[in-house]
Amino acid sequence: MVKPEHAAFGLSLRPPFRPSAVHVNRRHLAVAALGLLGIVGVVTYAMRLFGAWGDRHAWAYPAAMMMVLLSSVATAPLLAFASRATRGYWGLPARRAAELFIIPSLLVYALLIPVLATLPPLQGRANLWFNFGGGAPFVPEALAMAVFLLTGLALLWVSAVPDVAPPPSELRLLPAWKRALYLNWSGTRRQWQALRAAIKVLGAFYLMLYVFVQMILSTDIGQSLLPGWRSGVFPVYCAVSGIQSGLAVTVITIALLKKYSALGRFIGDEQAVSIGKIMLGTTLMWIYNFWSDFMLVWYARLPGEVAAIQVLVAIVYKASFLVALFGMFLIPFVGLIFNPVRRRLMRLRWIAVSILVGLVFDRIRLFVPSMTSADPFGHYEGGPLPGPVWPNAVDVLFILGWIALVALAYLWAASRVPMLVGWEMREAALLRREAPFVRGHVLILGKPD
Amino acid sequence: MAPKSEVLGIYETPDQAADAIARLRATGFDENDFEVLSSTPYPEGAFGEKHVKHRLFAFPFAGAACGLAVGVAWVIGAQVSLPIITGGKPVIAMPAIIQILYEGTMLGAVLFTILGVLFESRLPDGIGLYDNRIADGYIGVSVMAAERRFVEVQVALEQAKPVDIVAKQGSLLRPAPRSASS
Amino acid sequence: MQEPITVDLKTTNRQLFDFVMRTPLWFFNASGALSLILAVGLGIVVGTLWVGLQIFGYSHPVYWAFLIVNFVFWIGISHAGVMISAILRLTQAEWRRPVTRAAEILTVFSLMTAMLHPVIHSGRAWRTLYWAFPYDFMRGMWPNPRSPLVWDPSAIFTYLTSTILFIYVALLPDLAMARDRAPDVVRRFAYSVLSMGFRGTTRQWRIQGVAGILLSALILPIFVSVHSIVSWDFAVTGVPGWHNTVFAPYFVIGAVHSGVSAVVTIMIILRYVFKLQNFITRDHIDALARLLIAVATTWFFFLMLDFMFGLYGTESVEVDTWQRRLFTGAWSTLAIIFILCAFVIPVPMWLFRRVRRSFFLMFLTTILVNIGMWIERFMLIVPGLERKSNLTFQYSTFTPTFWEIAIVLSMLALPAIGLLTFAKVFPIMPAADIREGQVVATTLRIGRANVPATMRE
Repeated sequence: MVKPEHAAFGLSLRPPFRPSAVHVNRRHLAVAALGLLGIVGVVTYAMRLFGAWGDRHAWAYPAAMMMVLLSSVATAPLLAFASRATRGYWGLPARRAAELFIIPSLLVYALLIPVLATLPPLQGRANLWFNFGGGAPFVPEALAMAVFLLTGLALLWVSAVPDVAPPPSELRLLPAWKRALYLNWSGTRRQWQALRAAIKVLGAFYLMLYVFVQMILSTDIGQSLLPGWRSGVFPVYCAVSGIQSGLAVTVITIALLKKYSALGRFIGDEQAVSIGKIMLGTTLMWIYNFWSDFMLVWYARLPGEVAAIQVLVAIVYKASFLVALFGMFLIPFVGLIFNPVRRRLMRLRWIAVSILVGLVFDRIRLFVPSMTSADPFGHYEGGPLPGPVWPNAVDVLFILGWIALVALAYLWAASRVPMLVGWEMREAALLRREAPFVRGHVLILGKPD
Repeated sequence: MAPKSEVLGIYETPDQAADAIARLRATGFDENDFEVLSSTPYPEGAFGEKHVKHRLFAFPFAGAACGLAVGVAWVIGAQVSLPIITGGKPVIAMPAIIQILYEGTMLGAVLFTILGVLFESRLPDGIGLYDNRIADGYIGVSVMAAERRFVEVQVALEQAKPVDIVAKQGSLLRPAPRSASS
Repeated sequence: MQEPITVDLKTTNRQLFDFVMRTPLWFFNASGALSLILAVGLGIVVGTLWVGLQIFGYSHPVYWAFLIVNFVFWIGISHAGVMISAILRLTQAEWRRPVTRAAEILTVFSLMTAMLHPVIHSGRAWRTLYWAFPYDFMRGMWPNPRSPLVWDPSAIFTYLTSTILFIYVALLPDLAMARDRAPDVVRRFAYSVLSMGFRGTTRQWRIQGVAGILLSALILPIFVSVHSIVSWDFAVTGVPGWHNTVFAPYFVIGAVHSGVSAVVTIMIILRYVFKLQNFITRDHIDALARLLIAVATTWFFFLMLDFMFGLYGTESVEVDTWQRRLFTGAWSTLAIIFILCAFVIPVPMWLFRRVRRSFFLMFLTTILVNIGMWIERFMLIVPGLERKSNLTFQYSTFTPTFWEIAIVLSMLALPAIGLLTFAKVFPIMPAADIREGQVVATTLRIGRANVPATMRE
């Protein structure tokens, strides 16, 4: 078993170890570059917003970018939920780093509204709402996403309170609204119990809402707009590949934290061992879900479905698909089956980079053809396939700019909220010890109920 | 080289067994000369032994390659041999045969892994000394030593307070040994 | 998850090997009763081979019915073994120890039971070998590897072989113990041969540990593929209600749902029959119940996906099939029973700790789940076939006959006999694994509390 980093055992309980937020050097070249790109992202967004409102073709690449964010950044907090649900110590140093991605996830909403505004009415095309009124898909989509993001914010807020709340003596002096923001935290037994229960419930809801949001968004922006495309496994494919990408984003973040921050002394190969296994599992799930879809369409040979596959995989967006195949499956699979890659954080991060590159191309090949389809109300009658829609300069700048915006939002969050969950690290220090056993050494892991 | 014989010390606690190992090392025996026998797996290194090196991970890869080859031969052979009319479509179609290739690969990997387990565990093994008390939770320390070093071995094992010391001829500590099997 | 085992290593050995070493009277009674039930079933099967398939309720175009439903059902049950054993081994969950072997044995005998059904269903059983093996060289009759009906035997064979070998490797230490405790020469010889001289050296234990992880990692993809391939028997066709890309994961998660429920049922029976109260505790069924909540909820989500995307394309045949499944005649009654049994009753009950820790209530709820899941497979397969043809004069309704029902019920005895026989010859719990759990179990003192803990290397 790979042992935790030694720093995890030496945590001070008196005074209690409280990690501080990272200091972001705004004058650093990388931060400056991100800032510049972020401005480009905002400018290209404004160009689309004011110059192409309601134009589905113009919002194709932004829609793909939105799905990239939903499938990576918004999924990262699930790692925190998973490691808490399984009571795994391995996830400890990565939990807050994963939860902080909720802040950049809020950017998804800025893309969602204009994308939804481009969608044609439901009548006359296949849809998941069965032509139900009540403003579908706009109202339920916007509502579902809002609830999803608010749940994530609540999760981050609740888990951060013990780390950011001032001591009771200072808390008393704050105005009432600020005391409420800190949940009047004083660390009583009852408060700890309530906090844990809230984190469990919010985490479970976050997972369920994520799956639901992926299902409706991937269908409304994907399948519903491309005639002939009908796949029950597609929402599952998007959800699971999202989890794979969320892990990738978290791995890159903790690898950067290890390299550039003093808090990195708590991060090591122990995280890689477990995250690597899950990453291998989700990589296999990618090919499994893809194959379930592709093989069935190939075998049954229904013309509409075959045409959809020809657009998304085999002919029109083949190049994009191949990059996605290599990035999200072949490279990670070949890398992760070897222990020396899977069990080392600094090697795992390159697999994570491959996954994220693959994700971008994957979402482009899935959602750009849908958003640019000529006639969502049509049925495939055996005519010619549409040509690929390549990104123009504005689209490329948009994608790069929004990646930068995500990074900037994350850095802002990390400069406000500590990137380690101090209270859980202190608890773990009580429950984990190295001890001699006969002539060897073992790690003793406490498992309280 | 002088022929070697086996001596088996039986201990009640892991500490006693570890003590015996330490004394054997001090006497000049190395890792290749002694073994710890237990009916329960203990954490690695508990008795001060070195990390076990093995190549078990290589076997699944070899097996997967063989399984894939067999699968390919079977699938292609069956389809080429059966003169079905395909209406111009390819006789060998990847999406249709991948399932069988996959199963063949996995079966090959598993079969070779099992062979690897037996090989790395040095099984079948019918030549070692054994005592039924080990099955009841006692810990055995088995030493292969030349006849001329038997006394050293016995002294080292005795100093760790064994319940019994067993050789091929029977118990070396008690006149009426309990059943020993090899 | 931390009720420690309160007996010492010697008592553990004695209790786990008790049934192996001596044969109580009830074993003969139980074996006899189960053999009788099975004999009735096999008698009907032999009769079918003699008389023909007309004794079943088939009518054009419904040619897949009870036997195929039972085939899918038992394949589903077989998934629990690997799910529990492999996944819990990989996650190093301590509570897996008493559960793994019974789950694996259930897998083996469930697979064997499942494999019988397509053979019976074919009518001319001796010809089913054409499916899987290059059988008749002279007439050029080769299996068609493009057919899902050929993928099935390759997947099931791979799964069965892998599981048997997996069990055997994990059984080696226990075979060695059985050898050391054997009361007579014949059994001593047999266990000696089977154990291959396993002595429990450091190397052998290390390889056991690595092999467990490695084989778990290899078997997991096989387990996913088996039921996916079974699902493709249906999904690649154009039968209404069958053509849905979600079938593969839907079948797999359904299999896990029914399989884990079956494991809980079996564990409770074993606890009572073999007096294993020291080893199967309320903590174990509590953990399994929590797993079941997650699995059942996921399964329900996939059911909704199947439903929604079945109707998504608004094709009239698909809409018609779902309408009949849910709202027409006997199907609607079955739909209500199925959803109540498989989800609505058990899952909310499992949310309560008191239910999760009650052996009686868990026994009842898990049996309900399997009743519901059997009906689910029935509702998946038959309604679509009844309207398979576009020609209305070929519409049909299926009515099962006594003989089909008898075969389905009698086949319950086959895995039961298998389990009982296995438990007579080998320990039904992995003794070495349980003893390891006792060795590595410890406590941490924090203040006045003793927190249960585990040692890891």
